[in-house]
Amino acid sequence: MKKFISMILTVAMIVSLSACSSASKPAASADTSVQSASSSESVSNAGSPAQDISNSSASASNAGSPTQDMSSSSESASTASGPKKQIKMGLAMNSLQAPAFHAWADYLKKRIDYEAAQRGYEVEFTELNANNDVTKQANDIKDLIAKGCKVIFCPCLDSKAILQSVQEVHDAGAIYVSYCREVSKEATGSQVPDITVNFSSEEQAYVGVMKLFDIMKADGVTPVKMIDVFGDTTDENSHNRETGLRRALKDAGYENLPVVTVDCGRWEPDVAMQNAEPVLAANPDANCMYVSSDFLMSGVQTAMENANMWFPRGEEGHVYTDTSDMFPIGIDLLRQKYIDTAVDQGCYNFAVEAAKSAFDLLEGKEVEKVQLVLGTQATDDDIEQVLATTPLWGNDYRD
Amino acid sequence: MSDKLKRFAHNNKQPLTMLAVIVIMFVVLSFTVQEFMSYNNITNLLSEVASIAIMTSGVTFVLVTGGMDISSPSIMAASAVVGVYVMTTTGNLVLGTIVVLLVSAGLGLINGFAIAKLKMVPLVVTLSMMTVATGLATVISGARGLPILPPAFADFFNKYTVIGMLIVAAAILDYILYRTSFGRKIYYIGNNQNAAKVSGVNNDLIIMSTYVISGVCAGIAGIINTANISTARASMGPQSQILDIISAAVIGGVSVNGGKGRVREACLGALLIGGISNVMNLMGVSDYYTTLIKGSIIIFAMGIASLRSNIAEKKGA
Repeated sequence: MKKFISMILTVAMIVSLSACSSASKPAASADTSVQSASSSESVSNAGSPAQDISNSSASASNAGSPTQDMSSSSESASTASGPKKQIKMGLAMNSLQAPAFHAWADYLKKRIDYEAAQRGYEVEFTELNANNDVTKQANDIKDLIAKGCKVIFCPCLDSKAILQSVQEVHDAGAIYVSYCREVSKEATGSQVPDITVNFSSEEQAYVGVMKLFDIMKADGVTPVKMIDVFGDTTDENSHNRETGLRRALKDAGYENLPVVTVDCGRWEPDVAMQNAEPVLAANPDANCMYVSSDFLMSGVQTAMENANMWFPRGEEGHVYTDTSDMFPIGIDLLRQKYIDTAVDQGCYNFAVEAAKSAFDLLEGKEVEKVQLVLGTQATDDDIEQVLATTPLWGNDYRD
Repeated sequence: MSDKLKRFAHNNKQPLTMLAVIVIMFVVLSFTVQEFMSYNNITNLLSEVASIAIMTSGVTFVLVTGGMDISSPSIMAASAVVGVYVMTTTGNLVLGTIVVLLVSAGLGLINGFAIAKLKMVPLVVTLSMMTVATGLATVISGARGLPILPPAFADFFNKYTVIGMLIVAAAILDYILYRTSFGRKIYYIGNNQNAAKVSGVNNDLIIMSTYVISGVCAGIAGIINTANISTARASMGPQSQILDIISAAVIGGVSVNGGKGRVREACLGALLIGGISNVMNLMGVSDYYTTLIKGSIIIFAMGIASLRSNIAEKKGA
């Protein structure tokens, strides 16, 4: 009886495995998953953050939104013909608990589809999830190596703990792409990733603030005092954004503009609110603001409402505001003209650059080892156009 | 010869059934999943399973007494973090390795003392220990994390050493539980604690010892995981790992009501659980399905165990 039950258990398990495996078919097997050929133009903007990205959003609009029906692309004729080269690629995700993480994974799959179709590859793509377990991520990478993946993308959970895995990937003769995360600077020799694609938090703040001053100039408003809602002080990105802000103030000729800083704790909107209230009460003449992440805007909004400083652009008393990241709340406030400009985290642009560079490296081309990618910029004037044409994670994953 | 074989088969029904399931699974998967039977994958699988299997072995001792230990993954992480802290501050890898075992034994002893001497509820005690150990690991590793260990540590505890450790640890622990008088007392307590006490068994000491063994096993798993990532982190012991450990034990025939189960079968259960994860990874199946299937298997296995227990009770009546 027990043997019979065990047999049933085994068969059931294997049937379940087979049933589940049907979801993991090769990622790019046909020309149908092709997007506009001009997408590569957006990468140039993504890779050169110092450029004015108001142009990049226009070129990114051709990159092909994941929300579009990719099979309907009219560019299939431009894809490589002839027999396809078989290759396995893997993604060892850190977690899938945040919407942005889903965006990282989904956009990457789509861009690998695109690059594969363009270059004549058939990719078997495997995505694993470490569920925030640093040991599991190491084991997942081992499994991807055993599966024969030639390129492994990984947003590492721990910048130091991942180094041994990077070495193992290289020992197996595969390519390691540090995706949306950087490994520790202690990495030496074969612990150094072949490609690092991460976001440029300094440029994110720089181009945003520069754009903010342009908008104020166009409206005939002179900056009097700036409120700076600083990010989590233990997060390197907060300090990078602060550097970008200071550089923008200098380059725009507002080096002596008074800047009053508000602390947000550990990216906590309620802490930002508590700290912003006294600052706003003491500085009612402030007419511009930089918020390190629009994730904090719910708290900032309450504080500004209480200080009677919450007005959309066009109304008297409006505080000109630039934010980074473009969370759903940031997009909504841009539409309502409470935020004047914002630069998104660049999830889609990461994928564009990571997929392109990985294929380039596979084909023996020279690639930049560290690529700091800039997200898409939008203003309250062009937000609708940007949303209609460009994949923004805060919009695609708002639910 | 035939009689001997029959007797052997009769005495080892459970492990033979488990082995048959695993062999059938492996054979079928070798045809359906291309890379499954590769040398690299099999050695990976065994080394990946090692830490879970050793923790399962330790928890088996506790389960057989009728107790429960859900703090094993957290003790694993905490002891590893303390050990790596010692290794990186003193530069002495051997001392650090010993510290891992001492810390894990100490945390296990606290569990055992609270449960055996203070008569606290095992689930509550080990749940609290889980929080304390995770907190300890987080405090010591700090915001920036502990440094990387010299390559010598990972080189020594390579996957072949780890597989060897698994085999030796499983053999020793199975012997202790099944062949020694200490082990027989554990079964005795698990079957009827009062009868064991009346018979002169020092219940408190035996129960405390099982939690210490479970702690030490978590420490060994901590050493293996540390070698795997060349450092230690609080996130090494996620709370979800306890599902794998208890699933492995239950699938291996260990009764959560106590008095029944062996280490070798629990290890085979761990191999089955690890095998499922490995195959899912090779097939690129979503993590959500993996969790779903693992959960279904544990419910199924516990259902069978419960059914068998009811049948046995009816026969007895």
